[in-house]
Amino acid sequence: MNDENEIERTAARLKAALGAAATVMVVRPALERQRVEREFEGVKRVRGWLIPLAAAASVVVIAVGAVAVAHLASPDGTRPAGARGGSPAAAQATRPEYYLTATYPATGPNVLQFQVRRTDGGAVTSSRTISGANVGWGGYLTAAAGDRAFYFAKYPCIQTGIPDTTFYRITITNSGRISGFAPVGRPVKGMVTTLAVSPDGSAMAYNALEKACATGGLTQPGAASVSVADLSTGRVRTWQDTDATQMTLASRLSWTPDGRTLVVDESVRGGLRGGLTVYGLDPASSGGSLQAHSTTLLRPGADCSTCVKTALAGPDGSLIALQSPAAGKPGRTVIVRISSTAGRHRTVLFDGPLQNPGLFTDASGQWVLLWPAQSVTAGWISGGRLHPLPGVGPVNPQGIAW
Amino acid sequence: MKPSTYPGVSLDEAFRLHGAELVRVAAFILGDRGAAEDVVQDVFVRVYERTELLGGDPQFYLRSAVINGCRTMLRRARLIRRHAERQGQQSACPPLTTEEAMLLDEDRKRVLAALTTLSRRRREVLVLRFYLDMSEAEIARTLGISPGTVKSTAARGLAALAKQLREAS
Repeated sequence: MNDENEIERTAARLKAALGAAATVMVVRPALERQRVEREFEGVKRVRGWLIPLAAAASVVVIAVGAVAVAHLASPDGTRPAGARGGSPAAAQATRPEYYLTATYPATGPNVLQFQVRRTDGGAVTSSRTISGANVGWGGYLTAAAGDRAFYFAKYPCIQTGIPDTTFYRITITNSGRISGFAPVGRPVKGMVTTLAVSPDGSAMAYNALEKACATGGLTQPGAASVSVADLSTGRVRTWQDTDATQMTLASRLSWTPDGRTLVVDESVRGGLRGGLTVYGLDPASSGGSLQAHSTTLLRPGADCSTCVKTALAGPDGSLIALQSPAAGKPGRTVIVRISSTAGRHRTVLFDGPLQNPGLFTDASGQWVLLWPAQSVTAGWISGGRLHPLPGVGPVNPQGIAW
Repeated sequence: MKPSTYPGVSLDEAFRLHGAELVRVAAFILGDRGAAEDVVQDVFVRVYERTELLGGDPQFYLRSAVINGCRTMLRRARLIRRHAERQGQQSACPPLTTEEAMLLDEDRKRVLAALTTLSRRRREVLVLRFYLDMSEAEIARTLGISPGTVKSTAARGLAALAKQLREAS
């Protein structure tokens, strides 16, 4: 039991600690009005030419939706064999039939539940639970193309030392039942916060933050690093940002449907939302410098007119991107398809009143999932609308993939 | 107590008066500097588009908006939650860079680390009370709760903090 003096001493210690921390905490001058104005000037320019593009985009997306509906109307309702030995283009035509979620209950991270659900109706077709103390907060789900496999990275959140991340492969049958759940690849040192699997399922790309899970916020004292592990040989190649002037982080990875390029979202830690640079890395290269083996797909301009928060590989060499709120509309979400490497040709796929959604795509890059922060409902985009994905409920979702 | 109202304040003034303070408040609550700056930036971007939001009590609006932004951030980002909300997995001094943390003595680091183990509501109340020196009534208005809840939350938060510190020593 605390006595009154102890409480008073604690209050005094807290006040002193907060005051001291505030004194030493240097808030960067980037938070200046001029920066905000510049970003909004960028918005105005973007908006001006986005209007006719948005109209055109709606026609395109509706057409795509019509094709998808036609495919969904097939008697068996199954998706084609996909990219593993097949044409990636074939896999693009049909909306994924199932999606997988990983959730923790409200009580904490001691149970991790995977559920497979039908995209239509949200019925649970299969589930699997991992129990045990501290199975690890979070994880990253992704899906490989066409072979009904999902991948998940998991690490224990420990306070001291660098955790190891273990990868799992979850396979499902044509009827949506989990048919396999097993570790894949070798565990890696560090926290893997983004994971992408090649379309043929032969390689995994990941970042690995070599730091204790519970310390230091999201700041990584180093350069962005991306590794690709060959799942058959175990060989690992690593590329690292060679720009020593800034602290960077590989925040999202995605593989193009043809498997030839790994799209790397690089954030400048602590930077404003204009800081995202998107590289197209050649995953067949030997490793080494990220810049030397990549082309720059997107770089924020001085006016932030091309700022994005997330960019993922889309179909036909495009990027599917979530525009930064400042570059889009505050309080709204704008998803665009960027069809040129210069980032100039943008097609609006969705523009709606959502706050801070997570952006996900299927392996074809065509089917886009949004996971809004302030809603329990995730959804997929078609025809400029967000169609709810039932079953992504109010239970600490940790990952979603389809 | 800092002044509570600035009639007719411009965005320039709001930035100058409140920008850094709001980042610090958000950093203490979120336990993550980058996320804190994002939250504050979002608030000011919103204000830039709707300057009338500053027409009433700008300090109240900005603080409330930042608190709400922190809540959204905590709900959204599993990484943030992992780093900052997990009971018993606090960082040594999460809102600060390594260089900044080196400037603090160990006791203050311990207190800041213990603060991150408290629930979101308790952190909010304690940060507003002991960093911004807000009264119970002001905290109640900012958080949209009753003064009684503020009082009890602060008391329980301090007790929990004392317990954490006692066990850590």
